[in-house]
Amino acid sequence: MDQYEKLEKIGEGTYGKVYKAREKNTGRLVALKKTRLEMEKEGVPSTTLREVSLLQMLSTSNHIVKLLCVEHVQENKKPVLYLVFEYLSTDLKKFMDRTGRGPANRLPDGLVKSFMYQLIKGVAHCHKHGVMHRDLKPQNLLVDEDGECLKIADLGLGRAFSIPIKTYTHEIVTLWYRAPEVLLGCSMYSPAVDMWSVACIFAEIVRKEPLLPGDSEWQQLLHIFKLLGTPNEETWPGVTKLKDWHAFPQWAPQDLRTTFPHLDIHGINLMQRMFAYDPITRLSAKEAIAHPYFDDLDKVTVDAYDTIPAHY
Amino acid sequence: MATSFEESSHRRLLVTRADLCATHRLDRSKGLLQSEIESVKIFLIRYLTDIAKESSTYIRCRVVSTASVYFKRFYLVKNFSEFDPRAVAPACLYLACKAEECQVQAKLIVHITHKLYANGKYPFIAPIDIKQILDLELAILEVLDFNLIIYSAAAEMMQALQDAKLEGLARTAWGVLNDSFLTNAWLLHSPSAIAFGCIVMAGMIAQQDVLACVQEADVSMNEVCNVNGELLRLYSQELNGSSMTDEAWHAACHRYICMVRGW
Repeated sequence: MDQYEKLEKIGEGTYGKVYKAREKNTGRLVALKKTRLEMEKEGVPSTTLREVSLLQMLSTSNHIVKLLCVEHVQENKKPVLYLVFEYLSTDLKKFMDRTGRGPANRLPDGLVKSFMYQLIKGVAHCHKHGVMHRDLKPQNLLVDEDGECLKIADLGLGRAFSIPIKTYTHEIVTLWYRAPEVLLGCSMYSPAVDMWSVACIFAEIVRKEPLLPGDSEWQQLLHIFKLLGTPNEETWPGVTKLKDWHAFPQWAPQDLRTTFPHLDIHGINLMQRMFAYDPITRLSAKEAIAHPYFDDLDKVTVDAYDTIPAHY
Repeated sequence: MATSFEESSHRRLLVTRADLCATHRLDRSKGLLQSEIESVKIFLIRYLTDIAKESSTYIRCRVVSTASVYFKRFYLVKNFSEFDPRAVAPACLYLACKAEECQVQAKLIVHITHKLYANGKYPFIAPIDIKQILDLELAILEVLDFNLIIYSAAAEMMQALQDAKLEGLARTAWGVLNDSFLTNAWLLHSPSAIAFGCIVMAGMIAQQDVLACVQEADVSMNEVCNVNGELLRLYSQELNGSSMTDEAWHAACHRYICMVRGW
C-alpha cells in the first residue's frame, strides 16, 4: 500500500473505512475501501466478495464505478483488504444538498436528463449481465466535481440473478426507494425492483427532495398508494395474493403533471411507466434508454463521460 | 443470459486445450502423468460433492458446480505440489457458498471433513482446520482474481428441452450436466455449448434423436461436439476404472498426491 498516500477519511461503512488517497507515482486520486478480514472466523466478508466479483464483471461500463485493483496487506499483523476505486468527489445526495433542497432550487433540465440517462444506462448494464443492484439510492450514486458524470457504486447487495432458486433476503433496499412488491412480501423479485428505485431517484432529482419518505414499511406503502392510487387486481394482477397484502385505504391516482409541474410530457410518461405497479409491465432499463424523453439529449457527449481512461 | 455471457469475465477466462496442456509443470516434473492429474481432480471434486451432501440442507447443487469450476481454475495456475488439493477442494466449496449467497460457517466444513475421515469414507484425506480454509480462501481469490461469477447452463438446457418437447430427457440430461463438472468442459466452453453438449449426451444415453433441438440453437456445433467429447472421455475413463473398487481408487489417488507432496 506504499504506493498510495492517504489524504482523508471520506466515509465509514459496516466493514471498514473509506479513504481518499493519491497514487504517488501517477498523482491520480483514488478511493480506498478498507475491509478487515475476520481470520479467526469467516475470512473475507461475503458482501465484499460479491461486490468485488460483480464489479470485476461490470466495470467495463463508464456508468459503474471502476474498481482499479484489490490489495491484500497486513496492518498491525492483521490481514486487510483494500478495494481501490477511481475517485469521484461526491455522491448524488450530497450534490443535491449542496445545490439546495426543495423545488425552489431546481437543477437545470439538461442535467436532470443527463443524470437519468447515465443512471439508466448503468442499470441496464447491470441487468444485461444478470445483476440486480437492489440498493439504488442517491447515496450510492457517485458524481464528479463539476456534476457531469454519474456512476453507480456500492454493489455489496447486488446479486447475479441468473437462477432464482432460493428466496431473496428481505430488508435490503432503503425504504424510500423500495418497490411495492418487496414491501408487500413478494419473495421472488426481479430487476424491476431497481427500476422502481430509478423512478424514485428521478422524482427526487426533479423535485430536489425525496418523493416517498416513509419511515416504516406500512407508511411507505401508504405514501406510494396516496400518490399512485391503491392498486387492485385490475391495475396489478395478483396483488391481493401477495403475502403482506391487507385491506388498504382506497386512494385514486394523482396526476403526476401536478406533482411535477416543470417536467415535460415525455418525462412524466417515463416516470409513470417506471412507476408501473405490476413488475411485469414496469419499463425495463433497456426500454427506458430508448424513451423519447432522451431524444434531445446529446448522447454522444454523455456516453463519452469518464473520469479516467477506460483501460488504465 | 447468453448475450451477457459473451462479454462476461467468465468468457474472458476460458482457455484453450493448449493452455490446459501447459498446466501442472511442476507436478509433471515430479513424475505425475496427465491422466493421474485428471484422476486426482475427479477424486477431489467427488470429495467436495460429498462434503456438500453431508450438509445437504445448507449447500445447494449449484454451489458444488461453482466450487468445481474454482477448483479447476485454481489448478490452471498452481500445482498440487504447491497447494494440497485435499485442502483446496473444501476451501473452494467454502468460497463458493459465499459467492452464491448461501454462506456456511467454516467450522461446518471442518466438521464434515472430520466426519468423512473418521467414518472411513475418505481415509486418505486428513481433516482440514479453520485457519487452513481461510488462508486458502485468500490464495484462491488471488489466483481467480475475484472472478467468482460462474454462469449456469441449467436454465438454458431445461428451456431447450422444453422447447423441443424433450422433457422426458430432463432427468438424464441433468445427471450429465452434473457430470460435466468433473470434466474440463467448464474451462474450455461456454455454458450454452455445455447445455447442448449435455443434451446430445443425454440423447445418446437414452437413444433419442436430439439433433433438431441442437441445430436450431444459437451455438457452435463444433463446440457442442467438443463438450460431448469431454463427457465421452470421462465416461470411458470411468468404464476403464470400473473394475476398481472405491477403496482401490482412493488409494491410487492418494498415491498420486503423495508422489508430488511427500508422504
